[in-house]
Amino acid sequence: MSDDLILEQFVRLLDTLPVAAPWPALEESGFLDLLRSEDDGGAGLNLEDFFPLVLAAGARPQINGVVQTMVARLKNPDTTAAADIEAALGGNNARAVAAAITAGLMAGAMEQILATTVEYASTRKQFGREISKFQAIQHNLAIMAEEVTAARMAAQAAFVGSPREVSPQRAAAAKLRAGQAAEIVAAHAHAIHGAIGMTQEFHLHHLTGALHQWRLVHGGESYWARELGRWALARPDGLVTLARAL
Amino acid sequence: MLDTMELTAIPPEDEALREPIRAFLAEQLKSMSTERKARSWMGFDADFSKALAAKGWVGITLPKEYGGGGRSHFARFVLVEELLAAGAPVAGHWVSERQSAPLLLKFGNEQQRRKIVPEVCRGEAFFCIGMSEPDSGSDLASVRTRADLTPEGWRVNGSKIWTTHGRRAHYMIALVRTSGTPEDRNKGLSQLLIDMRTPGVTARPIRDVSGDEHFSEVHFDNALLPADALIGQEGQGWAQVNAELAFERSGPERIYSCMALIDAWLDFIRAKGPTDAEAELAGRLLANVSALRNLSLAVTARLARGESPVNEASVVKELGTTWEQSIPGMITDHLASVEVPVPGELLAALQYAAAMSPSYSLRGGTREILRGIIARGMGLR
Repeated sequence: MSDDLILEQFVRLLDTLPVAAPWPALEESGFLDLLRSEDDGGAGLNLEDFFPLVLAAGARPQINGVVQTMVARLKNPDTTAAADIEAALGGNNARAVAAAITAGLMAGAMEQILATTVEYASTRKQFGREISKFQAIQHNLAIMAEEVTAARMAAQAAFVGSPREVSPQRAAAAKLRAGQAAEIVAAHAHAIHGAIGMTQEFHLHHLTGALHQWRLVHGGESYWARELGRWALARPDGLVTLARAL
Repeated sequence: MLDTMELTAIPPEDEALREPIRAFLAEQLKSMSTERKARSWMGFDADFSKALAAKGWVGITLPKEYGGGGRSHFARFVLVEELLAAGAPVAGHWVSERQSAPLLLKFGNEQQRRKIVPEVCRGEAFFCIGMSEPDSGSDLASVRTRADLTPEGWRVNGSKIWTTHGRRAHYMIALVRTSGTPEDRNKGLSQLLIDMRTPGVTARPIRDVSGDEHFSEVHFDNALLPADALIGQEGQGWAQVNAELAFERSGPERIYSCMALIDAWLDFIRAKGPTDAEAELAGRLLANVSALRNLSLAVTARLARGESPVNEASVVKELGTTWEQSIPGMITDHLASVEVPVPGELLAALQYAAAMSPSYSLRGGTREILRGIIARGMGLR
């Protein structure tokens, strides 16, 4: 199956799952074993090809735990509805793997928050025109786009190679940058949506709520900044050389 | 919406340039102070530019038949990255190889290309930018400097301002009005190639906040240019200047203005032994520059494919300058509380960066202009 086809089928599956009881259909789909090696009946997906699926899952947070379960199955093939990759994997690099995957989910959520906010601003009218026509709103949407772009790139840089061998430095940069962006993206999205974004019924809070939950786990910005900084300061190099060595 | 920027690696043949460039810079800059390295972007050194050109590293992406290196944009990325990381004085050749020579190649006549582009690549022709005027900043279409075609050639009258190294440059590419009035906005504008030695052209220095004199004000008092000083088509100046701005804004250089300061700070922390708070600040700096570098590389990949990714380059420039502008403040906050003596060179680099950092989001298009470009790219205007 081509990578595009895998993504297309994964998205269709997520979009048609019953939110109340998604797991039987997920089990049946075979997607939960995608990361496991082909010898173990999986597809041996590497992180580069996994990244679009993680983004897609992050954009659909109503069904949480799908990619987390896929990662947890690298250790225990019977896992279902895993929430905590770090606990499920255990061992040295578990926190870095969990941080990288979570940064990918956050990037996916933020891409969706941006798309939702652009759409809302382009239809909501005040003072006789769409609010997206006001320069103040345009500039805040531009800031959101910048932050989403940076967070996505930092996450993508951590999705290289085999899932167990995530670089702790790249994972650190990814989770840190995603957390930094989350603060700004969520704040502007809610500000632009106004009161409707504060309702249970409107979908924005599913996305911003998931974003906050993901920011809260597997190490925050300060933790990862310290880890990354200790690594950097143990080397003699300048910042550009350090960035290349990540 | 904006195009997605994908993680990109530098091809090995371009990465291979890094070591020879580093060796050259280590030799050339061995006695340079941190304070001078901090001036990298603004640092003017004609001998350095010539020595760099002798290695084939000025105009590295320009076609070989015009004296260039014929290399890809990834090669230029490696070159620019090493130049700015080392704090090299790049201002001499910076504008000419980044935007002036590419503009002449795109719109100039064959005589302009044959004569001037090879001079640029030899490090012998430096350019300044003739866009801003006393009454035209972000609103570039309101320029008033006027050129009239007479039987003797173009008669130019008016002024340009904020012209970096206007007194040292050999040429200016000037956006001027060749018909109509300022009220006609972007109609009736043209670009002229101006030899700065032309009688009637005078450049006066303007001292900046750090005490340097890289800025200038350039006056044209009945300056007479040959008829073939016109670049491209008469009346097409607006489209041409926007192409020039795309060259100016798309480069990878918008994230490396503060490297001398950061590297001096990292060395200071290593020498004293880092606390948790210092490691945290180092980690924040590294995580951010790493993401920006990868974004710059994604823009470079688009340039290498022959595209002009103006919207995406604007995103990177805006992110990059916002981050760079936060650096002097973060380091000030830290150094204000440190209990051991701070090296004078580090303080001098900090003072320079703190004073100059507002310019990062002015030069090459203000923050507000760039946000407008990004918003247009998102389909909002």
